Amino acid sequence: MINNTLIIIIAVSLLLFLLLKEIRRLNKARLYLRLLCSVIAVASLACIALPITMLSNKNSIGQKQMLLLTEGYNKDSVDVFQKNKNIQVYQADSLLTADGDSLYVFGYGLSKYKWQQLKPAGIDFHPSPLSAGITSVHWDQDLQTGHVLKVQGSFNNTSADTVTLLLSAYNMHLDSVSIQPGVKQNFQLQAIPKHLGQAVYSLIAKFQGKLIAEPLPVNVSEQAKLNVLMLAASPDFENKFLSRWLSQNGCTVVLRTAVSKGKYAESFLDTSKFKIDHIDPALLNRFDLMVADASVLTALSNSELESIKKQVADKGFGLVIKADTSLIAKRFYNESFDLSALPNSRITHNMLIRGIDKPVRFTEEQAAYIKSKDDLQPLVTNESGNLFIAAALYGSGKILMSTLSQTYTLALAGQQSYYQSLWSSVLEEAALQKNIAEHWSIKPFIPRVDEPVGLFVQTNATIPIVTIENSKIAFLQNKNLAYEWNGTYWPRTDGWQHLVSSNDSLYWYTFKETDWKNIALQQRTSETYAYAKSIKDHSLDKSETPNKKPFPKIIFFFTLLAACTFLWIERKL
Amino acid sequence: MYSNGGHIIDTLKKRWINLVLLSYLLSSLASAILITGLLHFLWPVSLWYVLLLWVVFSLLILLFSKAWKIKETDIVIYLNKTFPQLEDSCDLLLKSPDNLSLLERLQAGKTESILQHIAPAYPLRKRNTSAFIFLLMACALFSVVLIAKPSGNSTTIKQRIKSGSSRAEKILPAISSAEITIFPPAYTGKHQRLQQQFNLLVEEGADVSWQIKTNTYFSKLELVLNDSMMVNMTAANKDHTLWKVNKRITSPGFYQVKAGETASELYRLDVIKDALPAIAIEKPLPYTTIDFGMPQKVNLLAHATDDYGIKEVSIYATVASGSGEAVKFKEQKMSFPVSFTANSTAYSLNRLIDLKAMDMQPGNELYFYLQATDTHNQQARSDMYIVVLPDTAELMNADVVMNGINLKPEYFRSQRQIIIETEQLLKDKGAITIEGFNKKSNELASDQKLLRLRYGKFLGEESETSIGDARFDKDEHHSDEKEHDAADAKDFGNAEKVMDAYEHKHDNAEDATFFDPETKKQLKATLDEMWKAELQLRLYKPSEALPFEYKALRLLKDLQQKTRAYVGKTSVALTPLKPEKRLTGELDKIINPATEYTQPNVDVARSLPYAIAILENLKDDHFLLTNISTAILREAAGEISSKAASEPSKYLGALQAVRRILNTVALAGKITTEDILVCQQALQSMLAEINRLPSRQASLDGFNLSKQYFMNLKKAGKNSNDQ
Repeated sequence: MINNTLIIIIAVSLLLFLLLKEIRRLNKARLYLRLLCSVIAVASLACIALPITMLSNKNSIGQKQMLLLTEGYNKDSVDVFQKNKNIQVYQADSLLTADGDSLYVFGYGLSKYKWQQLKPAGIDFHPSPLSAGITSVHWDQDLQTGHVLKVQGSFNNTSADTVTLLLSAYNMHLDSVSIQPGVKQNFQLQAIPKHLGQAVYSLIAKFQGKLIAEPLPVNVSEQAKLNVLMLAASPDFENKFLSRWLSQNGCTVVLRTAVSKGKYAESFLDTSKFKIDHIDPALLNRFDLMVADASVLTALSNSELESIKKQVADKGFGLVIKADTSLIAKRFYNESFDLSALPNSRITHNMLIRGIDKPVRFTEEQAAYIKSKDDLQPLVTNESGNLFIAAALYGSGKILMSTLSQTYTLALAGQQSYYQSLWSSVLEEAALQKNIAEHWSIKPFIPRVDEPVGLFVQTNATIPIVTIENSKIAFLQNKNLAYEWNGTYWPRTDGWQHLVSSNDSLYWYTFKETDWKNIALQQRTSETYAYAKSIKDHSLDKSETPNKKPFPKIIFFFTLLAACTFLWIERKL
Repeated sequence: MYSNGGHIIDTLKKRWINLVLLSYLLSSLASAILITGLLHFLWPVSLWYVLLLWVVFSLLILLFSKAWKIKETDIVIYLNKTFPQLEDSCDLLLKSPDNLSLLERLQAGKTESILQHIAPAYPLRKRNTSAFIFLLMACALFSVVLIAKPSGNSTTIKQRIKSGSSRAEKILPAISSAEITIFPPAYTGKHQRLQQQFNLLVEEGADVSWQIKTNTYFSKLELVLNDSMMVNMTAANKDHTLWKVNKRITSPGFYQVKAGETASELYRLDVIKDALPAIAIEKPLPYTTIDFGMPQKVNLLAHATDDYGIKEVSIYATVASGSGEAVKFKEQKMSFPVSFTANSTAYSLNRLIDLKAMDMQPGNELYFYLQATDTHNQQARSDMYIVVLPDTAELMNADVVMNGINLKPEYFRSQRQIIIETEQLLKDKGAITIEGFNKKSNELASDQKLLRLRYGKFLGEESETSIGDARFDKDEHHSDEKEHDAADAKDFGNAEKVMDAYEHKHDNAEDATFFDPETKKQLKATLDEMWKAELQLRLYKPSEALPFEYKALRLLKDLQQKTRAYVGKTSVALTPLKPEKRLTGELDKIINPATEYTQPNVDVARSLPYAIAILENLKDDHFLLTNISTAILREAAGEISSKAASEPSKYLGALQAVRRILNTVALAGKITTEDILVCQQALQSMLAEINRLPSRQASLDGFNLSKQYFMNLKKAGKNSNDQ
């Protein structure tokens, strides 16, 4: 830097001296021309000394240009592009490396990892238009028993016929949906899988004279059953129905019903008898959640309430309270909930229940509701936004308040499925969460044969030891999240893959290259765009410093020579 | 008219026209065949369209070409052009020889002689041949289409049938032939039938006789029913090659033929159950009321159907008489005037039930139902139908007046009064003069009208002669006249009063009706009956008015009944409570009642969902079955087997498939995907619908992000509290 300033100072003073000399000369002929030449001469001299650089022109020097044809390219557009150009043409499979080369890419492009292998320096992408059919899809590949398999996606029907999409299991149709001609439409198909373990369902459609049959692998695992403690203030139908339904489905239920002062009727469903007179941490540890009438809680002793409070706040225990008039006094369990009575005592609502798509008509005596607040999570609301069941966080657990006292009428009215959905979502929301040692996720959503698959695991184990088909996988720890690890696996066969780790085992499905082709092509296109953009950004970053080239000094030398020559000849004239 | 040459030209013309027409017909036929063939190929269009299209095309071509318009001059021009030797003189032949000059006549004669010698080649011959070739080609194409189309069609249908129904039976190689005779039971009325297939579809209770010929000697041949029951066949000849057995089939299932130690595949044994007879009663309505004066007859119209035949249909009628605790029932069986000896599958039955003949009195009720018996002695009965004869005497009962809430005005009694007076008038008919009778009838009509108007007011009806209006009431209320006058005198000059009389008022609080729509509807119906009664009375036919009067009264009574409210007795003497002593009993000796209940084990059903997944894994050739998986598959096979015994047509294929799979697993062979799919389908339909159940959500054990966040939040909260 200092060098440069010194040069500039010397040059300027030299220039001033020269200009002064020229002006003072007696012969005033061609004064301005002489001045100009002096300036040029000094400037050229300074430029020779100064390190002057220029930006290198991209692609122009040292890069080979190639034309890459990937799947689905249009021959005509390639021909038009190639006309009058002498570019070497490669098919996607034949090109092994393009390190530092610039590529013109036609077709749907390549996947990210293929680009990473080729490592081109520049990509000029000419994508083919995406074909019609299933343009996006998603479903839950891991389900629990009784959960609904929902296949959602969108279908672009470019044909003139209505297309029927079928959800089929072992060639038996479970659900269907029609897509109108000439429409891009979202669809949803659903069914409750009956199997346990692995099965491949399929999504079938007849489109443009071809039969599309795409696999939908579903892994169903048995769910962890709940242990429920129910405290009832008096014998009633609501508790009887709930306890019976839960026990019929394999849950352990202990129901304590107050029948007289200090006397309780006790029912032990699917469990042996034990003492439940006094509520203490030892008793609560046996259960995942408690369903209690509010007046029972009011009647509990302080020590009992304290142990419930601790269990909820520290251990994540769930508490479901059925509201009644005893809730006027504020305790820890109702401080988040403000109750309000509806004007009519008997009222029929259209209830919006989480987990049920359409409103359910429901009549409630003694109608009260919970005022909506920001920190409440609604589970059951009516159309005017009043909450009837809502959840609030309390420590690491949850407290749910319900003002519904007659949900059993749903079951009696033959709407058993609504009753089940309602209570399933309520109890699931409240219940103590099951601890698992590892949490796995697989990327991409549709892993394919001979393509890398990312395995992500969250675990507290020091280093996960994982094998798939007797080959060990090496895992890398996440820089920021110590409990997250990731590894890569290259499946060689399609179908179910079995991953075995020290604490867990996991089934996941590898798709054939031809499965969900449309979605693969779409993904390739977007990945090619993304890669092209990333290398462009990268090369721009680089050009800030190293891509500057020194300006050829010979030019300055010639201008200096020319200016000096003029000045010398001018005197001779 | 023509010369000889002229005739030649004339015949030429006719022939030309004929040829043209022929060519048109040929080409239109060809195009009709071509188009029909094309349509037939694309859609299932009848081949008879050829004729229709032919006619249409021919007409079209003829209309546009106008072939019959060819003239002699055209022929002449053509001849002149084609044959130079005619020297352009043909037109002379068309002219009358008398009009020709000498030279012309000479020329005409010359032309004529030339014309007779040349055989004109018709210009259209070429066209005709091309039309003919066109036709031939169309026919050829058409036949190609005909051959190509049905063959494609029939194969797909055949394939469909093949895939839909079961595969061809496999018979033990030792069996050379089998004859199975089915004797349907007598109730079906069907004849015996013979079949060679082992898969059976028989009527319930049919006798089946198997007769099996074997190639070689066997010591024992048996049928294995539902994997459990052995039926030994008896050898009918000394060589032990002809075997026979009879069996009555009452329940569905499957069976195998076992020759020596080798057993055949499973054969279906489907049973057609006899359906219950069905009865549909068209008339009368389930609840019929016969009003006073209506004919006391009920026309019963019913239809009975059965799959094999109906043996009998009869009416079971019960007459209930009396009321309260003195109800008496009289049962009676009636038949239809139809002979059931033919045992046909459907009957339309009709019978007129005369209530009088059944000794039914007013106030009695007739309950009846139909019972049908089919040839298999299965019985079915219809719903209970009720016919009511209302008790007019009960209607007249004044008990109703005790009603506490009296929404209706006291005019209710008038209808009863009108009935009494009408009956009295009918009784007195002989004693009084016709004028007196008519006058009385007319007076009753007026009473009826007044009553109707009064009720009309309740409905908000408007009438120019509304009841209670002084201006119109004068003739009916003579005694009141003075009062009205007096009132008028007092109110003299009262403008409001004067206007009142001529105003048409709405929204009068007095007139407002408080009835619900249902009550209003019934009131309207009552008014309708009153109208009819009045009409008959005005016509001096009180006897015909009586039914309407009674109906009006019944409807009115119904109205009153509806307004009744039940209030239970509440005065029960109880020992007075001592509130200070309530809930103070000593309970310490009472133990808590406790119940324990464990759901019965449902493990068997739980293996089926896993079996589906095991089958899924078997699709992968490298998958090795563990002992547990094999056990689960065996359990599933057992479940399918018991299901196949009750529904062989649905589950037998799956049973065979699962057995094949278990065998191949044992022999480490290759399992076909088709077998796996069939089994999975069977298991899927066997499994009950799964309900949504609550489960515990999973969360990562230990120190994860959300827990870290929560702990820090807690710490922050504590710190802020401390400060």
